[in-house]
Formats: sequence, structure tokens, C-alpha cells
Amino acid sequence: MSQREALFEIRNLKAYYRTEAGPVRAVDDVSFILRKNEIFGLAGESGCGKSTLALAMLRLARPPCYVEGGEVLLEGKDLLKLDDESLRQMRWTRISYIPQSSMNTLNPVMKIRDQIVDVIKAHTAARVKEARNRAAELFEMVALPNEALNMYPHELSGGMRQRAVIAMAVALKPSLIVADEPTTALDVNVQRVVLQSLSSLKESLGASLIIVTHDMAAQAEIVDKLAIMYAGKIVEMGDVHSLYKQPFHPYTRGLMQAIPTIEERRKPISIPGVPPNLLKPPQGCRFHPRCPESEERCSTEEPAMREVKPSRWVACHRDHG
Amino acid sequence: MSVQPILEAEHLVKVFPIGGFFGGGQLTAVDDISFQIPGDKPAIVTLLGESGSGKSTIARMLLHLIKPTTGEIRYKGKDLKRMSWHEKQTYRREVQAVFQDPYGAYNPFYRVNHVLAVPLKKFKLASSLEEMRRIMAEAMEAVGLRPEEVLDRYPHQLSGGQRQRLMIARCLPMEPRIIVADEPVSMIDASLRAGILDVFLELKRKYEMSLLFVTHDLSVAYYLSDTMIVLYDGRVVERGDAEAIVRRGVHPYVQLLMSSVPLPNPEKRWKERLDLKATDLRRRAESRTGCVFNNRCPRHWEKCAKTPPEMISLESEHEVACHLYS
Repeated sequence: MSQREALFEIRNLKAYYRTEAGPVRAVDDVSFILRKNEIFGLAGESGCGKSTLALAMLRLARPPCYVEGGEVLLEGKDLLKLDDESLRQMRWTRISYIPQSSMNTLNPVMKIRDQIVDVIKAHTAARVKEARNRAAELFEMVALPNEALNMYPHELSGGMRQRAVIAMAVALKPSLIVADEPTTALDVNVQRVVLQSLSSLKESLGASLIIVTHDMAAQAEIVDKLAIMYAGKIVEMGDVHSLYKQPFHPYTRGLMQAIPTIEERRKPISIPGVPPNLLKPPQGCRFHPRCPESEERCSTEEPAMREVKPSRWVACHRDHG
Repeated sequence: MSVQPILEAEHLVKVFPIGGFFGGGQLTAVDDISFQIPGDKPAIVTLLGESGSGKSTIARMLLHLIKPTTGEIRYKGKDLKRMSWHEKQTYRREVQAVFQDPYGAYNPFYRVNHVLAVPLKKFKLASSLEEMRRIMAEAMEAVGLRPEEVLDRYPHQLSGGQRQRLMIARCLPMEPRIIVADEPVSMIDASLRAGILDVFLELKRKYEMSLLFVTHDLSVAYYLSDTMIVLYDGRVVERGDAEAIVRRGVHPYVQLLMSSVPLPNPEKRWKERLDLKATDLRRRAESRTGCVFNNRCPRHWEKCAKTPPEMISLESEHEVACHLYS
């Protein structure tokens, strides 16, 4: 695999939630690199910290959540250290965010067109006419009919609203788009259309994307690189083709065996136990109490992330390779 | 068929009035749907459909939470509308429900014992407190929970998977014949979902309970079902055993679904882009004179807009409602 230029890098990011009982370590020492023109998937179950990670890296964490430490570098600039005005200027133009259930984030009393025009005008010197033309182009790009621009959000179906939000997110040609659960709660066909719209941004804009979703099948459809999170940490990361073919981490393997598929009628197998309480995460590897292969050192020594094969990283004491 | 089906739905129709200050319109959520759950052996029958297909409306009618506009629901041959009070009590005991949201189903101020105790009291199934605790513990064990870890806890102390298991356990003391489960695993974490599905399979095998399973998730439906009924916009488009639908589904809607379900396998990605404009600009057919899938169907012809297709038998246990096959 040719190594493209790094666009976005997260180094040792920690985001905690303040509670009376102490900090909840929702994102604990996470690092990864996103290259230009790459789709990066973040997968994991609810409560693993993937949404918190998305918020923290966009500097959108709000109390009781706070960033405990780490760096978030977009083309070498640390977003966490920027002043508010520079950060504001970067939003939408360099980096944009499609939040969870974003089809409900549109303003219900404004026509879609005006909402898109608002965004364009707030961040560029464009005139209304130019902004309107741009809105039409954007709708073309996400394959929405032009007449939908003139409608109010309630007149559109969930999938169309979702695509309208995607159109808005890419209005100013950002180099990075972060989408949190972009297809949850959508019907199968609509889900396909939305995922295909997202993945086409890679070609049409040359953008990079981070797709956060628990849906392993959706990840398999569009991402280039996938990271699996468990209990606040990335446990495995790598090229998506290789990772699905041969998952190394016992949690990844468990997760893949747990999902039913129409490819074959096989019995899905649950991972025993439940994810840990992140107020007091287990010592050593956070997965060891549920791990079928845990050894003695797993309960004392935290495994470091290491590259076991080219473009495959795993945080596990077991020998993989 | 010689044995009487345990549950029959016949020509079910549900029309809801909608919107408008001046009279408003009507929305046909369920449009002439018939199906049955066999009486000779336990079965898992799945209603599969996307949002707005009417699947939950059917479940709610079966649970007697709303009344059908027209049509009949018969339990052991007896029409629900003509049941005496006692027969209705029996129906309510023998047909139990599990819903989607195990987080919203509990009152956070009560210990979880409360949800199990209510039906036991209501149907007078326990004569003493000890007996009640014993029954609760048995029910918990039957769904794979350890009573000592669950009894006397508060809902927030349990995981989503544990809570949903408990909602299933709650049904068991009533010795139901049928459990109606509306999207019971869609809010459960992936790593725990398989365990809940196995509870349902176990109930069928061990306690001979049938399941009416309502879902939008094709992969889950395929794993669990004996019979799959695919709904679109209030009508049945295809039905058959799970293998027939998934491997040999013929309705254009079913084929579209099959090709759009993402597989957890990056080597088998979608090959072409789905034609977007055809798929969801109009959510519903404007008129219901023809086939409901007509305006989204890639293979529609003249007849499709005019006459609704009849159910046609393709092989044993496999029927489709489509003019292409008539």
C-alpha cells in the first residue's frame, strides 16, 4: 500500500467525563493517523467511547466531558490549542461534522436552501446568488432532486434529510468530514444510498472521512481503514480487507462472530460478560475479563499497540502474525 | 392443513386519520394482510419491513392495543372481537409481548422485581411471597440470567441485554403460547444480541412457544425465522420459509433489499450505485389502486399501476404478490 500524506493525526487523546465518583475514562490514550483521501472507520459497541472520541477530536466536548490530554493535528496544526476564532474559521471549510441522528438537526422552520445558504455566507464572501447555485450543485452531488431545496425538513424523508445534512457539511469543500452513525435508523435501501453518497465524497472532493458506527457491515462497505474500540481504547486497527479476513484481537474476532449475516446461516455467538464500567476500568488489558484467551499477564500489564504485520496494529499480548 | 392454526389474521386493515385542520386524509397503514401461526408445532414467524411498512401496527393489533379497522384476528379459532371477558383474559395471558426499548420499559424508582411481580399478581400466579420469588428466579434462569445478580437490583444497575432478557423472563410465568416481539434486539449491543436471539430459539425448543418477530433487520430475521413475511407499505409482497426468501426471493422489492443489505465482508461490496431518485423521493404510493411498490419498482409495467397483484404460489411455502409472475 502506498503511503499517502497524513492529513489528520490524533496523539494520545484522553477525554473523560467528570462525575462525583471520579473521572469516567471514555477515551483513554487513543492515537491514529488519517491519510489524505482515505475513509477511516471507527467501530465499537455503545459505550466504547467512539462518539466521545469524535466530539473530543473536533473540540466539541462539552461538560461534563473534558479533554484530559493529547493532541489533535490537522495538517500539523493542533486543534486543541487554536484560539476560538481560528477554530471557527476552520469549521465547515476545513473540517466538518455530521452528528448522530443528524436528520433531526435541520431547522424545522427554514427551507433547506436557506439553511445551506446561511452556512456558505457565514464562512465565505459569497453572494446569495452564488450560494444558491452552490446549494444546487451540492444537491446534485448527493443525488437529491432540486425541488427538495425549496422544501422544509418535515417534507423530506429521513434519508433525504440525512443527505441534505451531508450536502451542507461538504458545502465548503472541507478536507475532513466526520460522520457519527450516519446510517443508524435508516431503511436498508436508504442506508445504501447515504453510504454511497458519503463514499463518493472521496472522489468528488478528494476529502478524507471518519465514519463512526457500530455497524460492522456498513463499515465493511465503504471504509479503507478500520479501528475497533473497546472500553475507551483502540484495540485493533488496520487495512479493512485484511482486518475482516483475519481479525487478530480476540474482541474483534468475537464481534465478528456475534453478528448474523445473510451470507450464510450460521449461529452468531455472543461475547460472554458485559463491557466494563469506565469509572474503574480493569487493570491490564481492558478486555481480559471477557477474553477467552487471556493469560496471566493480561490482568496486570496493559498491552501496547504494535504493528504485527504491515498496516495491521493490535494491542494484545498474544502472538499474532 | 388439518390442524387449526393457533393464531390467524385475516384481511387485517388499519386506517389512521391523518393531519389537516379541515378533515384531513387517511393513511392506510395495514392493507388487507392475512397470515397465520401454525398450531401443530411452534414456529418463529417474522414480519419484515422498513419503517412505515405496517409491521408494528400489525403487532399492536395482535396485542389488542389497537383495534383493526376491518378484518379478523382469531386465536384458537375464536374471533378476538367475540371473546368473553374470560376468554380475553386467557388470550392476554397466552399472548405476551416484548418491545424494542428495554431502557424505557422500566420505572427507575422500582426494583426490577416489580415488573415481574405485576403480572404474577394480576393473574394470581403466586400464593405467597416465597413462591413469587421462586417463580421469578426460575423465569430468570430460563432466559440465562443469574437470579442472584439481578433480583432486587434497580434497572440502571443492569445492562441493556440483561434488561431485555428480564422483559422476556417476565412473560414466562404466564406460560404463553405466543410471544409477540417488536424489534427486541435493535437496541442491544452487537456482542450481546446473539444471546437474546438464542433465548427465543430456546423458548421455542424447550417450552414450545411460538414467536411473532417484528424486525427491519434482514440478517437477524434470516437467522431466527422459520417463516418470513415481507411487507411493503402495508401489504405483503412475498412470504415463504427463510431460505426461500433470502436465496430465492423474486419480488423486485425483496431483490432490491437483498442487494442492498451490507455484508460484513469488504470483498463483497455493492457493485453499482443504487438509482437514488427512484428509491425514496416519494415515500408512499399516491394511490393504492395498483401494486404498492409500483412507483419504485425497476421492472414495473402497465398492469402494475392498475390492479393490485394477487398472492401467487411459487413452490410449497413460498408465495409472491407480483404481476411479473402471474
